[in-house]
Amino acid sequence: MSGNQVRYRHIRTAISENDRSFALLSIANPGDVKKALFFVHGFAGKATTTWADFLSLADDGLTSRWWEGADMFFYDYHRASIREQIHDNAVDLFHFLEKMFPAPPEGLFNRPEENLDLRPRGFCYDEMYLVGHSEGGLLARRAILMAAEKDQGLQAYRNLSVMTAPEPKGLLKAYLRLFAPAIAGTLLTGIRGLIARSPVVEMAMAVVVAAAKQGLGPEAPPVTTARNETKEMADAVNMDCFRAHIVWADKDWVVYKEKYPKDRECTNSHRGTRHTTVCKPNEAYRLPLEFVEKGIGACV
Amino acid sequence: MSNESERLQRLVTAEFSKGMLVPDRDAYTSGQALFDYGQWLESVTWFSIGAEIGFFERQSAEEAVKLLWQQKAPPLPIAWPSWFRQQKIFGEHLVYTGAWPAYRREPRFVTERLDSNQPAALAIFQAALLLSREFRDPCCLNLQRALQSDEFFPNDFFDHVKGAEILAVLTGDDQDRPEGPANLIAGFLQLIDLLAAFEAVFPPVGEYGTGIERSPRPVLAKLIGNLLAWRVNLRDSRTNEKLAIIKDAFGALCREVIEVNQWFPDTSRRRLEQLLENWRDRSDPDINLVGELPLEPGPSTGNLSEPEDLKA
Repeated sequence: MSGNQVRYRHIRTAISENDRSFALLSIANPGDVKKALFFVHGFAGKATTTWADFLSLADDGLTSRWWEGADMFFYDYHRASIREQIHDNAVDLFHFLEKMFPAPPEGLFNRPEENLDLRPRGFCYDEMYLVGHSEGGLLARRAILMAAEKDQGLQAYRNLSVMTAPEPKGLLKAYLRLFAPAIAGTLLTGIRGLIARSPVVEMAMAVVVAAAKQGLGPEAPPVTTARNETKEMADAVNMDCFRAHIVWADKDWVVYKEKYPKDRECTNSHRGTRHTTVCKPNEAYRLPLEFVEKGIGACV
Repeated sequence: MSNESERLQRLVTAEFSKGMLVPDRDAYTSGQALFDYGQWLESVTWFSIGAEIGFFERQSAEEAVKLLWQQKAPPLPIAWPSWFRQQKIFGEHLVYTGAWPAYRREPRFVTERLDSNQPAALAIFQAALLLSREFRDPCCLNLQRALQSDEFFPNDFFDHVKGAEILAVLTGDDQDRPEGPANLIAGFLQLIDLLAAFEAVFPPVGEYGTGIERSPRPVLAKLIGNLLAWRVNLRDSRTNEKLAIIKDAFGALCREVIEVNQWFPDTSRRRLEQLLENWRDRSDPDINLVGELPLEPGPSTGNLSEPEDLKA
């Protein structure tokens, strides 16, 4: 792609069996597409509205050409995010990720009846970026832990059966990019959480935060499990998937701003960002795009 | 145009066409059928603009417009912008010049500002098209129907809606989702989320980054703002009256759920009003088309406009 002035864009395609999820596939030469980016929204969110305007700015002439070599998967579990438990949603996400990375189903790219023929048979990705917002961040961490549990090489190393740490493979190759993640719990759940996450109400949270003590608290099992197990893994192996890069909102009344020990966080929040806007790039606020690409290197 | 571009156009056109359903003209007496007609009109217009900028295949778009022309138009809700109700007469212009009512004196406005096959324009168009599908979410759809037609606006009291009822609406399956005020407030919550997402794609004038003079974004913001205005037409007084009831109920819900002792803190209320105003202002003001068009709309009856038989 380098040296070529043509900007390769992305085209939307449906993902079978996940009818609200969709992919934006790069039309660059197949050999240049190495990266798979997975976007996971949070409680009561949606794949489209949470991430606008990644949808178009990835193809903007002012955006890094890094994006041309990436397919983007926008995972949607809107209704399940409200009514199902964190564990169940994490399992579903884990299965989705496993299905797509590193070897996505061929039907995603090649459907003769629809004139779709984007990639050769046996196409695989090399790199994976797992991008989560709010509770999507917690789900991402849980999905990585499930992959770790399933990885025999990693388990053998942890059981001291082998002395050399394995190279990461499968989902363990992921780089984690988390926007205002709920990895240390949320202040509000249920209908309170739903109302609080509304783009117009979240500012009201400043005056009601004292009344909000019944959420997915720091000691809730889904939070403590993820924290403890991730900490153990991060201490045991030097893999990026256990060391998330995090950017927090300037004003956030929804999640506790607390990272895990080996995580790295932007220390200069973008002024004026809120829980629901921190992950939404626009022409004037490009940090989310740069953060996905470079992690906290984008926050200087 | 390269074979590759044509191939991609065919691909996205095929996918878009799958979701286009031509409504049953024999059922136009029901509010639902009218709403379906509106969705079809909207789809054809997406097709037209998309063909204009090189996103969709032109031939398929022209066939869709031709089909629209062949259908007799039903009486349409007066809550819709008048030009949207009468846009069939612009159909030909839409395909060939991209003209819209407010731009009629500059009939090539869109094509002059947007070259075909600009990657940035195609991406913005695709993003807006993706977002627009959220208007078809069942709760959001119910809200739109209720705002447009008294037939779908419940007479129940709106001030006693409980948070649990909203959750039941949002988590329920389509067939057993509760109806009534809770359904509309749930739809309102989704509408707010959707309008905030549109604002990320189309920031209000003055908030664009550098290079705006060369950006296709403001041009598409206006086109798509006009195209989608019929769904929640904030230039229509009846729509605003109903929306005020829902906003009050939403405020009451916030008071109950998050224990705020006033409707909203001022910042939240201002943000809500700003979102709605930005949505309204993205579309052109309704203009009186009478005298400019080759037809004379009859007096309105109830919530419907007179039939517009454009072949007459």
